[in-house]
Formats: sequence, C-alpha cells, structure tokens
Amino acid sequence: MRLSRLLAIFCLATASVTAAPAQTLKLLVWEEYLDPSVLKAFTKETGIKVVEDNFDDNEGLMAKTGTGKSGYDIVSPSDYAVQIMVRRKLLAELDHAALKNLKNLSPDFTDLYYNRGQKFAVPYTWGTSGLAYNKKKVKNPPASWADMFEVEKLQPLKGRISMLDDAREVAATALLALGLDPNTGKPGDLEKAAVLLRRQKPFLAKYDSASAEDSLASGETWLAQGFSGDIATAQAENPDIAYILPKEGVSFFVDNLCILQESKNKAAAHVLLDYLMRPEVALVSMNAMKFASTNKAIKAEEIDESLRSSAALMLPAREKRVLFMDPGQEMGDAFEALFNDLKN
Amino acid sequence: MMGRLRWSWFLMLPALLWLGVFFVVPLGMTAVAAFARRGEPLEWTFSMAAWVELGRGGFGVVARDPDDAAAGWRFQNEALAVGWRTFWVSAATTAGAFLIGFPAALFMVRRSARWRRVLYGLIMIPLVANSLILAYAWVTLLRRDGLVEKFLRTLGVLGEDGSLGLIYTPSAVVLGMIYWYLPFMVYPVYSSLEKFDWRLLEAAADLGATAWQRLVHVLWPLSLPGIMTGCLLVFVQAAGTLVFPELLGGSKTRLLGPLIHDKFLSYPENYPLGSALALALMILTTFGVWQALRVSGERKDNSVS
Repeated sequence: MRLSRLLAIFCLATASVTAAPAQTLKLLVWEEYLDPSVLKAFTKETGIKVVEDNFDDNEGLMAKTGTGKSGYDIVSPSDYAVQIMVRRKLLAELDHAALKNLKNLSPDFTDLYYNRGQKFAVPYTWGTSGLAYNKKKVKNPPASWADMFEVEKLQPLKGRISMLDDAREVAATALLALGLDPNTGKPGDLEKAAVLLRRQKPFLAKYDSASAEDSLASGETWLAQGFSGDIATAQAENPDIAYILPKEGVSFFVDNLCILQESKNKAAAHVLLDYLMRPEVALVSMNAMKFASTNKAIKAEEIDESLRSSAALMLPAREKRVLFMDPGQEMGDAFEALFNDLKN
Repeated sequence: MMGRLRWSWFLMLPALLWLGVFFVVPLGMTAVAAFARRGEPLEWTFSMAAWVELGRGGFGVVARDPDDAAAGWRFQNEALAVGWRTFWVSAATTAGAFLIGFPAALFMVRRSARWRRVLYGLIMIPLVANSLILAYAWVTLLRRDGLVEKFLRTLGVLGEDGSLGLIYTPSAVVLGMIYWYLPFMVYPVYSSLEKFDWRLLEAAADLGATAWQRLVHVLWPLSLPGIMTGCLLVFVQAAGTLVFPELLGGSKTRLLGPLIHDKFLSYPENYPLGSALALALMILTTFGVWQALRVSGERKDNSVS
C-alpha cells in the first residue's frame, strides 16, 4: 500500500517534469562576464531559463567541453581557443538570420583571424594585458617591455612585482622586448626569451593570474602585468594605480560567445546571443564587470565615468595588438617547457 | 557463524561500491591513459611515449641557470627535479608537524577526560574551513607589509622598511602546510598514546631509567605506530598538494601537484604524460607507505616479544 503510493507520487513527479516544455540554456562562461541581472531580465522577457557555470581559463573550458558531451549550450572562449575549438569541431555555425544585432559590433573586433565572417563566434568583450603600477611607489614607471628586464630599473621594486602565471603571456613580454614575434616563437627565440625571464625572476614577488589586481590595489605589489579589466577593478579601489600599453606592442584578446555543436537548444541559444548584443544589455555587464564591450552602439556617455578613463578602455593602435594564435602541439610544448624550466 | 559472515559482507557493500566507482574506475582510466597515444586530447592506441617522455634526461644534472653558475644545479629530468623538491618540502612539512603535533598529543592525553574532549575538538577547527580561503588568509598574514610584518615593526624587531622575505618562498609553503596538515599528525599520535600504559613509565623509573631513557626506550617505541601513521598521512597529502604552492609559493617553484595539474589543464594538454606522472607518484607513495608500515609493524612485534 505504502509502496504503491510512493510509486504514484514518483510517477506524478516525473510526469510534471516532462510535461513542462520550459527551455533551459546552460552557460559556461568566464567568471565576472555577464551581470546576473541581465540573465534574469532575459528569462523574464522570453521564458527561457538560464543556468550559468564558470571557468577560469580557456584550457579549463576546453577540457570541460572537449568530449562533446558536456551538456552546455553556450561558452565564451577567447580568440585562440575559438580557433582550437573550431578545429576540434566543437562549435556550431551561427545562423546570422537569427542574430540581427551583429550589426552593433565594432569592426575593431569582427572578422579577426579566428573568426572570419563571424561564422562561429560573436566577439563580446575585449582587453589587453599591459603593465599596471602604483604611481606613489614607482618613481620611474616603465614604458616598454624592455624596461621589465633591466636590472637597474627592477632593483628598487624587488619583491614588489608580479607577472601573470601564464606561459604564453609571460613569454610574450620577453619576445616583444626582443623585437620577436610572440606567435612564432622558434626554439632559438625562446632561448633568448628565457635568458631575459631568468634575469627578471629574482625580482618578482610572484606569478599570479588570479589575484594580481588585489595585491596591486592593497599595495602589496607595485608593478604588475595584468588584464585590463582586472586592473580597472584595482583602479576603482585604489586611485594610485596607472596602466600603460608597452610601446613594443601588447597582448590583446577578444572573448566571444559561441554555441556548442552538441547543444540541443540552438534556436534558444541564438535568441540569448542576440539579446546580449543589444547595446543597453551589453552596457549593464560592462559597467558591472569592467571588461570592455565590443558593442559600438553603446553611447560613450552611458559608460560609467570611472570606467571611461580606466585601463579597460585603452585600445591599442591596430598595429600594436598582439592576438595569440594556436601555437600547435610542438610549439605549445616549447612555451610550456620554457615556463616550467623557469620554475625549476 | 556462516550467517554472520555473510551479513558482514553486506556491511562492506557500500564501501566497496563507493571505492569501486570512485577510486578503482578513475585509477583504471589513469592507468590506461598513461599508455595511450597523445592526441587532441587522447587516442586510444597503446603507446609507451609518455613513459619515454617521463624518463627524458635520465639522472643527468644541468646548471639551474646557464648564465649564472652560483644558481647551482638541478636534475635535467623534469619529473625528477620537481619530485626531488616535492620530497624535501613534504619531508619538512612532516617534520614540522611532528615537532608540534607530538608534544601536543602528549599534553592532550594527560588531561582529564573532559579537557581531552575539548582539545580534541579544537584541533579539528582548521579542517572546518576551506583550504583555499585559509591559504588566502595566510597570504594576508605573511605578505609584505602584512599583519605579521606590521606587528613585528611595532615591536621594533623589524626596521621601518624591513621585511621577513617569507611570503612566496618554499618556506611559506611549508609553514602553511604544517598548519593545514597538523590534525592528521595529532589524531593518530593521540590515539596510540591513549592506549599507552603509563605504568610502564613508572616501572622504568623504578628500575632507574632517566627521563630521556624513558622517552626514548619506552614511550617512543610504543607510540611509533601512531607516529608512523601521522607522518604518512601528512607526507602523502603534502606531496600531492595543489593550493599552497600556488598561493603561498607565488607559483614560482614547481611542485608535483601543480605539475600534474598543468599536464591536464594547460594547452597543449598532455593526458598520457599527466597520467604517467600521477601513476608514478602513486606507485612511489604506495611503496613508501608499505615499507613504512612494514618497518613499524616489525618494530611493534619486536617490542612485544
């Protein structure tokens, strides 16, 4: 008797689940990428539910979605990760007929090498990884990456410097200082870069990608390689933080919105992508998360004043933008080995 | 009798299922992946490539910095270089945890039952918090111009611009880990001391043994199994740690945990090599644990006879 009642309840419960056709989109995006209020408003407008999960680097994203059975619909890879994921056939082709707001995107960020014709990716935010410093503590601020490898300039800042904990980003600073291409690091080039990086290491406090901006804002570090949006966060906390784009060129990245090939909700996913490209929607996330939007329809005066003058909106000249490309296995291993040797 | 035996197997069933699904299966996958071919990310064909890569450089040594002879040497082989450092960091952590944990357990076990319960609970407190949050708290304490340095400056121990230079060094990693793994030392040592017959010490004293002799020849051998268990628990966990080297070490020196992590979670990923590394570490620690338990078991048998 009791068992049959339990069974009845169970059947009812499953029936109610299958009867409701409410669609749910599963997002796997950067932490601090979309403002939660944006997704709530989307659900209210369309009835499509959204569940958001986060990742902290492209490699983690690729590991989670690499099997093609991750259960996610929308992801936010950076440029070179889009290139890799397209090669691995993980991303769905976009239906431009369902993305009317593509016209809002600035040509600065569309049609880049990894995304000709916006076939697989909607560029959504962009940033740089330049140098941030504390104006009160650093008397002779650096102007170039080369300055980051001069012992006399580093000496007064010993133990107060942090570099990103990322093989490509760190190697790029040395390669740029040497006038070499960060994307075609040949073995000989990497050896030269290693000499510079070994010379620099004793002056560093740490390699840190996760909390470099906190250390800078608190005054623990005085000079840091950092992502522009993170530095903008530090600037909001500490007005003494300045940001420069080193003169040799600077690592420049575009984070995108993509639909996974495995998604069973591709139509709904397009609806969300188009929604996120509305200027008033993109603006909310930009003001909250401090990462610059690719949306040219956003009016400058609507952007938070503090953000307008911050690191986040310093766009390097076209020829100074260094977009990372998929290095391939052999060269990628060489970059990793360089960084590992530096830590051994 | 038979009925009871069969029932006792049912009692083991949940544990067996749990271990079967969440330990044996991932372990099997790791073992298979270590002999697979590296692809994007993996091709399921047999290959020894990962093991060849693991052994590259053999036991040879190279200068740590080719431009600076004073920087010393290191193993050319990456796993050996990192493993060697991991061994010393874990050994230092174990030694530190013992030096703090053994007297603490000794103190605890001599209190009244009520006090023992309170102290037993207090030791557990660090484990209630998340290790990531605790590691960040340690950074706040130890960092340049952090709370510890500020305190030492007000005491006049440190100069106005003086610094301990402690944060983001292997020493900071060891300090953080001693703190975090201390309960794993205290509990087993406490348990073995709890069963210790204190009249043996009185007997030894009556026979003219000095305090030192009583400690070395009576208390030490009889509490050795607990000490061994504590040391193993601390050492094995320290050898695989991930959070502390990154946060307290400033990610400047590689330990095995982060190295294995990177083989899986950096681009280009190398699942076979990461699996081979994990497997090698596991085989080595299992062998070490087995040896240590064998030795302490023999000691125990000897001391009884």
